[in-house]
Amino acid sequence: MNEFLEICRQDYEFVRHIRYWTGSYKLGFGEKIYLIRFKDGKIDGFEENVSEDSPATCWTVGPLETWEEMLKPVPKPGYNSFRPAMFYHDMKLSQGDAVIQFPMLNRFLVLLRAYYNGGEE
Amino acid sequence: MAKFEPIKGGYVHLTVDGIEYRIYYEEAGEGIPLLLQHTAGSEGLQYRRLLNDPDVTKNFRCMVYDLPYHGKSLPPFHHEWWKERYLLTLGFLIKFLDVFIETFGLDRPAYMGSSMGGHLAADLAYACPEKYCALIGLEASMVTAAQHSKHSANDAYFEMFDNPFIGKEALGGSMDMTLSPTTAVEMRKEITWCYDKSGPGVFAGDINYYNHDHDLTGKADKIDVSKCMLYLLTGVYDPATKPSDTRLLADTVKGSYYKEMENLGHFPISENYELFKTYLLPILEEILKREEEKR
Repeated sequence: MNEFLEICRQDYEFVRHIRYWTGSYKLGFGEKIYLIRFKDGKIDGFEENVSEDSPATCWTVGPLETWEEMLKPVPKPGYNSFRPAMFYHDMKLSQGDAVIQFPMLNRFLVLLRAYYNGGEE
Repeated sequence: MAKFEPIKGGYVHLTVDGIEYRIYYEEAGEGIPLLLQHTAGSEGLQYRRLLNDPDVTKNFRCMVYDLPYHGKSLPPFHHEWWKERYLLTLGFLIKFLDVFIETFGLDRPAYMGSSMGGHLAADLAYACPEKYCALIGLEASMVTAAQHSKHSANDAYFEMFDNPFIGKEALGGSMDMTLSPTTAVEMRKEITWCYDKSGPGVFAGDINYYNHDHDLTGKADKIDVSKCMLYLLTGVYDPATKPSDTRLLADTVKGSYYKEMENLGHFPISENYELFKTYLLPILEEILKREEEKR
């Protein structure tokens, strides 16, 4: 996670999407759940193995099978982003006030997909 | 080197339900009039590639308008719009089109719309097929799939997308989640830009039509395509209108035309116009042939 978050820190688009933000992002791959903290528009660290009901400002928590398909270079229909994955494949996606983070979550997924596949976007 | 596009723009003042609106429109081409309806919360420039495409404009007079409150069409000047919540309705859309058609003296134009505009194609087929020569619905369905979800209530949409505490980029970000993963990043950014710059509360107000007014349950089987053909196209990556949602509508409207579009999502015209065009041209050729036979 440290290595990946460093990629996020170096990414102009990601940094822009989190400008001024203080909050937390709960990221769950099956039972493996991280909590990434943000402070004043910067990544401020993370915790791992947090519980699913840990409080967070926004979250994407889903089954491993869903993530595996979402992280393919060209995912199948229904797995193209967090929204269809929420509709159809049990991805828990924060709503309400946390929609402020939709652009951040989109960029996070693009970067994660590239990282997971060991190459460029 | 400077380059001019073959698109003409203008403003026309239209009165609907006693309120005057200053409407921006663009047009290109000649032949059968083809009205082009943008998606909820966006504007007509979604069609800019189509208006620049001679394969379409050689036989169709393509006319795209920004609905009031959208794009370059301001809210009505002589109406205190700031004292009421903006809500788009089916009744307004039908009347708006009636006035637009009458003002330009169009004789049974064709119509194409996407997302809420796609829904509208089906609603027009039900409500007033005699006024159009063909209707093309992109990402259309009998009823909005999310209508039954807890996120679809008007208040929830206003809380999410007309909330002064939520940045406007949330709207573009939400639309980004409906695109095909094969969409070029340049087009992805253009689509989201057009949402991020929309007027406050407009997308949420448009959803009033998309999620609530539009419901052809129990009506779609009465649509008679012999009066006006209904064509339906839906991208396989669209999570808002799944291909199976459009299939249900197509199966209910006997004789309608339906195709799934590979590698496209909720914004087929903007995501990849060249790919979308391969699905559109056969439909336009059929419309052209049928209209020529009538003459």
